[in-house]
Amino acid sequence: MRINNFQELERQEMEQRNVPTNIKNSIDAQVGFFQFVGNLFELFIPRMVDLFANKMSTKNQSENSKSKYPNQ
Amino acid sequence: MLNFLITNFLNPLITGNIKSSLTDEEVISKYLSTYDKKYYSILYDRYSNKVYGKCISLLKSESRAEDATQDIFIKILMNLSKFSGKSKFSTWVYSITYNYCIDLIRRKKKDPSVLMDNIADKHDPIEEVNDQFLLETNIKRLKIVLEEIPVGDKSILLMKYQDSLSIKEIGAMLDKSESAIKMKIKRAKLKFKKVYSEKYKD
Repeated sequence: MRINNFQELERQEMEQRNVPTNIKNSIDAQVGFFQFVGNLFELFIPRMVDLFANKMSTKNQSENSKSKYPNQ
Repeated sequence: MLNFLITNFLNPLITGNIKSSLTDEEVISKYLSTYDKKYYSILYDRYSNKVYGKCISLLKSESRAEDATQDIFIKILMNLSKFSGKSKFSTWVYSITYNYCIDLIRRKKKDPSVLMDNIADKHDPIEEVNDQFLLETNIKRLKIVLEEIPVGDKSILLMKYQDSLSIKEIGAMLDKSESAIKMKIKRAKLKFKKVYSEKYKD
């Protein structure tokens, strides 16, 4: 088998060190935040649009009814 | 109680099985369809040690390597949907890692020459250094010489000999032609030999 001390050096270095756990925690926190923002958009934007559309339609309805029945 | 059992016993068992049985591509596709944290945790567990090691090796600072590893994984997650599967996932991860570190060094040193073409040298004849000389260099010496040579030369030698990337893959990674990469490897090998010879006269 061909000797490759570059890979052996990497293997030895990997054995000697551990990846600090705070890296994973920070990534988790960031991903959690992105997911939260994503969910916020996914949940609230359609609701806001619905609400806006409802508002507009009721406004139009009331305006229409006003013009149809001015004395009511 | 049931929740406790699931969290402490069932989940590790399931994740453990997934870890060993799924390929990177399968894990990615599952992550993209569910956005479940356990899938990206599998990718993190598979590659964090290598990415962190490369960051330490190139940036020469543990705190900078920690920040870089975090940024690289966020970048990987954000761009996971763009991974086309044309290359191996590991190659893609290393490509992001090397490019991130090189860019960081370039910005810090304000030196655009890291891994750039040196036009003046392009047509100089270069002595060929045998691969065996590099591959069989004593590990302690190898580590010392790699610390001494410029980071651009070090990166390209690591890509070729540590990550076993092909010329084509390195070219795609650094957005350079195959002939330019061959030339860079030649120069990096020569630089390695020169530093080695200066340090170790035996």
